[in-house]
Amino acid sequence: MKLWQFILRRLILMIPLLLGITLLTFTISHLVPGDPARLAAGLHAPPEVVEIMRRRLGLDKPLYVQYYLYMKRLIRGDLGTSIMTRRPVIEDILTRWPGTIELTTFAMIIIILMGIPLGIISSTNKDKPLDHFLRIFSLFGVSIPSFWLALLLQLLFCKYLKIFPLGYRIDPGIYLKRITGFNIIDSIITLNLKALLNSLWHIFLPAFTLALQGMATVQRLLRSNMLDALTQDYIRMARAKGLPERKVIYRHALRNSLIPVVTVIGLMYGGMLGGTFIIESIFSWQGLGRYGARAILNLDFPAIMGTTIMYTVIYAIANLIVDILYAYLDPRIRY
Amino acid sequence: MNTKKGLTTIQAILIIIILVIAAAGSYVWYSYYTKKKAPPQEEEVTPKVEEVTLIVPRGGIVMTLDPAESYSVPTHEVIVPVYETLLRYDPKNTSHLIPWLAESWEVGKNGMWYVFHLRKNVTFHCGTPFNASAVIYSFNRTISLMEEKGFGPGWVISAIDIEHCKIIDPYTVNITLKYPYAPFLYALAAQWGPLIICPACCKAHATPEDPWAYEYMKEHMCGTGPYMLAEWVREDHVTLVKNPNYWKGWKGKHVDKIYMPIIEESSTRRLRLEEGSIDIGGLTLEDAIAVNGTPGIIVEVVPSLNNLMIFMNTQKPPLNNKLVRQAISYIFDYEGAVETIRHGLGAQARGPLPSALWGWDPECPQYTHNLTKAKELLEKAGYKPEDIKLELWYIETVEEERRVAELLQAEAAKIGVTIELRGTTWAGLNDVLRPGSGNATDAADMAILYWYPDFADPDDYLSNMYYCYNESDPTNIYSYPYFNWAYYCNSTLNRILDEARRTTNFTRRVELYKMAQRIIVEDAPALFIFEEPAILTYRSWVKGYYFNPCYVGTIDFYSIYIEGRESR
Repeated sequence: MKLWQFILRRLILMIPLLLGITLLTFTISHLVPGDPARLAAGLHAPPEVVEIMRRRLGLDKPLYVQYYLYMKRLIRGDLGTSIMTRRPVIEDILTRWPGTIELTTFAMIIIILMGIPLGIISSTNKDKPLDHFLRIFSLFGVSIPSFWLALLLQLLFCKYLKIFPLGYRIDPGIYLKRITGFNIIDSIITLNLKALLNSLWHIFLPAFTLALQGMATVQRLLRSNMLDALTQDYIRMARAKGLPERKVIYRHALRNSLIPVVTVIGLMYGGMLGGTFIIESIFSWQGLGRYGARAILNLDFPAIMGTTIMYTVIYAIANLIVDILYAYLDPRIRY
Repeated sequence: MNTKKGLTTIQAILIIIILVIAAAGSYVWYSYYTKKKAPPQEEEVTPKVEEVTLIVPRGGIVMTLDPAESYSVPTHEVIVPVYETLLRYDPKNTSHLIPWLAESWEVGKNGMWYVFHLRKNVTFHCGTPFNASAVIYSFNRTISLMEEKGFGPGWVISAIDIEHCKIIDPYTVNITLKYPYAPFLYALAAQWGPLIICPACCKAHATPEDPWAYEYMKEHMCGTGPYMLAEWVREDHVTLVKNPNYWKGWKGKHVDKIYMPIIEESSTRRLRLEEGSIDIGGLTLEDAIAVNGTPGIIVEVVPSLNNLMIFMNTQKPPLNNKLVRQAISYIFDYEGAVETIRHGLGAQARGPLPSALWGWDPECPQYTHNLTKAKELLEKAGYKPEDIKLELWYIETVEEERRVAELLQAEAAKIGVTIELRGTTWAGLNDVLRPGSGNATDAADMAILYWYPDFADPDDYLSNMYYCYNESDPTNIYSYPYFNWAYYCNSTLNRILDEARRTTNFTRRVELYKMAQRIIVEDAPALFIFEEPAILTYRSWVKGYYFNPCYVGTIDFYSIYIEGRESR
């Protein structure tokens, strides 16, 4: 099978996946006890007014009818109108998703740029003090809850050291022309250096918080894979034929140890998308996670559904990219 | 070794090196840049101009800019500086109404109509003059949108009979009611419902499908208030600028611009208040206590009209027995609750009304924490404490409700009464309080409610929570207003509340409400836990900031000015 055929097949397979996800989310979110009509009309609104709101939102119909109507609209690309922002969910999502992608991608870069070197250092210094230190660091990284870490980092870096801003994607006073919605890309396109530096300055702390757990996982995984690889015959062979140690490590051991790491990184992307729900809320980050968290608290059905669908698509595409990367890393894998 | 493969590895390493250098370089560059121009966030928050900007964070998104639709505090923070009412409440005395867009008024003999003499030199932000037809148009629009679309705030003025309202002359308007409704004047000063919108702006954007221009007005604003909408970036911030033609003028000190970013977390707002990058904090009780004493930050505790209550289902055994309800009222540790949950800020409520509201009875009896008395009452009612098992529902995300519930549970356990706690969402409460059977005996035993005023009239509290529409069918939940969570029905009280709604004699109304409070306390359909004062947190350079208890969560920006703040 050719690569494009593989991609096409995976994209087609996303359709039943999305159908299943919509059905599941729709059922779960509607089974949660609650009355979004009352929330939409106002908590003190009299029951008659709430009834009018309920009819307007279509919540008076049986669940399967609501699902049918929802899917009918979805096929036409209409995700409905958000109860809390009173505007089409698709518009809400389009303005927010770049924020989330930017944050998770930046976090991913941090994971790769820091997790992999740390894993290599850890394995090549096995059982030395540096290795112990890095292992404790990674244990800390895997076990610390991100919401707590976020608050702690805010306190340390924003309040006491004052080297990072408290939240937002960019300082409110800085003008940035919106083209793609990705602040970093937009500022590069418009050659706006001030906005670029400011965006990087804003993204670092939330992205680091989001990345820490992944970084630690990558480091641990890579360390154990490397240690395993270093005992293999081909390494002994490489050393025996007199290859410099650097080449042995990077060309032979690392490359063979990276495949499981890439899988984990791909899955981690999904985990990080989940993490954005918390991190974005704490750092007032304008993204889908914060939107989704608020939608759930307000039982905003159309927004919950829209966010879930969007996250599913992003996650599926991230996994697809990982699968394609396999081929690059391991020539034995062909589609 | 394959040369091509070797090259790819070198390429990969090169890319990584470039990325690392780029990241490190941008960091070094930026730290150099920030050192040179430190601190950047203070310099760049607002453009360097002479105008004075007040920075006030909001805790939630603005859902709509339409005053007929907005019925939540975060949204209303933006609505109130732009749209005004005919009357306003005096912040120092809730019974006193201040003429605002109406200069004076007359009440018809039977309380069925009101004549308002309107202020003459008022214009809307678009330049259209404010007059009698704008008043009728605004009320009609709000009520019609409520009836069509189910928007909440319209109910506050739903007593108005629009068809019979008359324009006497351009600045005199007769507002006729469908039925005598004494709280009407107070309802007209409410921050939700009776707001006046520009008819010209609405009509210019009306379509046959959307005659009230809702689609346009939910994104644009045109009122008579001191501030106008300059910018609304959804999910991010709202900027208001002063209305140069405001009818009260701009003599004296004011702020030119109000910048309202969304900062949801109280902890983040706290850090920002401490560093001085916002002027008003809007902090939670815990954060306010933490910043208390910080130089440059003022923490002020002022009375509000918010009350916390626990309702007891008076239709369901054993709570249908008055003695049992009284016993439960004696179980709760009121002083302990104020001390531990409110950190001493607040007081035990005396009866169903808040003490800052007119009509409140300072001599109304109060239940105290008295377990012996509670046991005696249970015995008198014929119950052993061990036989009493109740479920108490509260909203999980409201920390204070959870702690109040736990306190009641712990105290009840001391005499052997079992109270099980059931945390849920606000929306989830609806399901347990309005069971599908429609029968009050299937509803929750007990539930906690925070009440804030829609308008400052005892009727907003008592008729919403203790009235009964149909005395002949007391177990039907539809015999009660939505918030009568106790399903409490008392015909004497009903008659008193009816009379108090009809008579326009203020002294008589106060008398009636005092009687009502005593009846309610005696029957004990609810535990009156505590009054929650409002806590203001702001930088000391903010002057003229005060809290009006009748206007929950919103700020009178016109009175505020800045003195002694370094330019940002």
